[in-house]
Amino acid sequence: MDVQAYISSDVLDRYVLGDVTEQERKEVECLSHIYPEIKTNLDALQESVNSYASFYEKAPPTALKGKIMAEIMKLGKEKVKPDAKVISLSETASKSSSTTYKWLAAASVVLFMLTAFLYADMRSKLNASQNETITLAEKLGQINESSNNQITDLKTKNELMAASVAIFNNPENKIIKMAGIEKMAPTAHATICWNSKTKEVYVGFANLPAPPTNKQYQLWAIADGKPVDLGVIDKNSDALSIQKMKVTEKAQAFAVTLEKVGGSQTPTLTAMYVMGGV
Amino acid sequence: MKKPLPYSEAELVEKLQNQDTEAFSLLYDNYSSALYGIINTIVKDDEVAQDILQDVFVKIWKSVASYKREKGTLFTWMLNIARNTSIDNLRSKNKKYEIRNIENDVYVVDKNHNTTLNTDTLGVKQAVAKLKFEHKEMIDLVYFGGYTQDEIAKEMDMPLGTVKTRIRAALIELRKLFH
Repeated sequence: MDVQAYISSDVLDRYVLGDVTEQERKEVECLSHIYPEIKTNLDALQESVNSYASFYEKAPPTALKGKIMAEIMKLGKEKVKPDAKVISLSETASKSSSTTYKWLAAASVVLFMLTAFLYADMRSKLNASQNETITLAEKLGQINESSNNQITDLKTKNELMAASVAIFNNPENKIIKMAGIEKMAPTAHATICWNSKTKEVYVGFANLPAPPTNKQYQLWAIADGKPVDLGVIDKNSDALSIQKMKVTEKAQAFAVTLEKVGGSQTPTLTAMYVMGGV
Repeated sequence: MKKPLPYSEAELVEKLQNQDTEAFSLLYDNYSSALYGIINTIVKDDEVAQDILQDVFVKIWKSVASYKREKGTLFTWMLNIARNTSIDNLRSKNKKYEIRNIENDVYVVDKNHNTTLNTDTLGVKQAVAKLKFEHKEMIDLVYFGGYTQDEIAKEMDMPLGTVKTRIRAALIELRKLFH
């Protein structure tokens, strides 16, 4: 074949400008595949036309991208089905093979492809719904857990309150109100319930300034002019809680002082916050 | 809008063939202006051009699986889809109303040239301005107008040889300008 004559004919020009018949198009593609010279010429021409086309470039409206992307996403979900190709049976197949077998073979290929496609499709759908179920179950679990925690929390509080009320209402218990010390915390207060039979002491309904991290409140009984340690008050103690303290046989008064964490042997009298006489 | 692709064209094609929507978004950012430009130059109507651009990108998405590198670059392949879809649209419309006037097309294409100049490179602008009008007119009629050389010769009452010579000259000029 005369490659030069082919190159200097107008077919490559027409090819890059889109002015060729289907037959010519195939011919150019085929020949450029075989002859590197044709390919080089074609590529150079194509490059020129591409540059010329790019010269007219114009930005489409920005909103169009979203519309197109949405369309693509929709198509992506539907999964473009690959075209099923009918595979022609070999011509060398023996003549005895009846058309029925050919049809059966073709049908089985189609059936296989269809089954494979349906299987893959179902698998992906199943996976997707499984993932969704797992996510939902996890979310549900989280909600359950947090609501369970809240319920437990409320139950505990409720039980504590009931216990507090029971202690408060017990006729055997003596209620002693401790009032704030003027120069320390005039508005502070706390309540003591002291059982006249068992001599158990409860402190509660406390409204005390929040203690510094290295300090803790400690309860004392004043018996015969001497302080008796009744234990430290829980740091988390609040206006609604009530705490069981140590037993004391005698007491003329109760007082709370701010001490080092864990409590002191003797009360720091300069750090007395509330006090109440029996 | 145009960002350099973070990977080679071969990788981009592979991602697109694996239906990677992120790669498609990058493809759109990089090529939508060029494709919209050629569509708009052919159909000369913004709204129609937008519909066609959407068609073209859907076609690209659907048929990228069958794209083969040996047949040309991805850009060439996409330009061809854009051009063919636009020319088909033009032909169906013209068939409907039976108005096809080459004189009008010459005029509009040329007017388009002056109004849609949208390139940021002054060099290219000047280069295209240097194209001889009678050469440019020929490739515009074929490439943007969808005319065959025979149609041009007949309509413009010009020997077919002259049409061929002018197209060849135009392509040689383009080659010099862009390389």
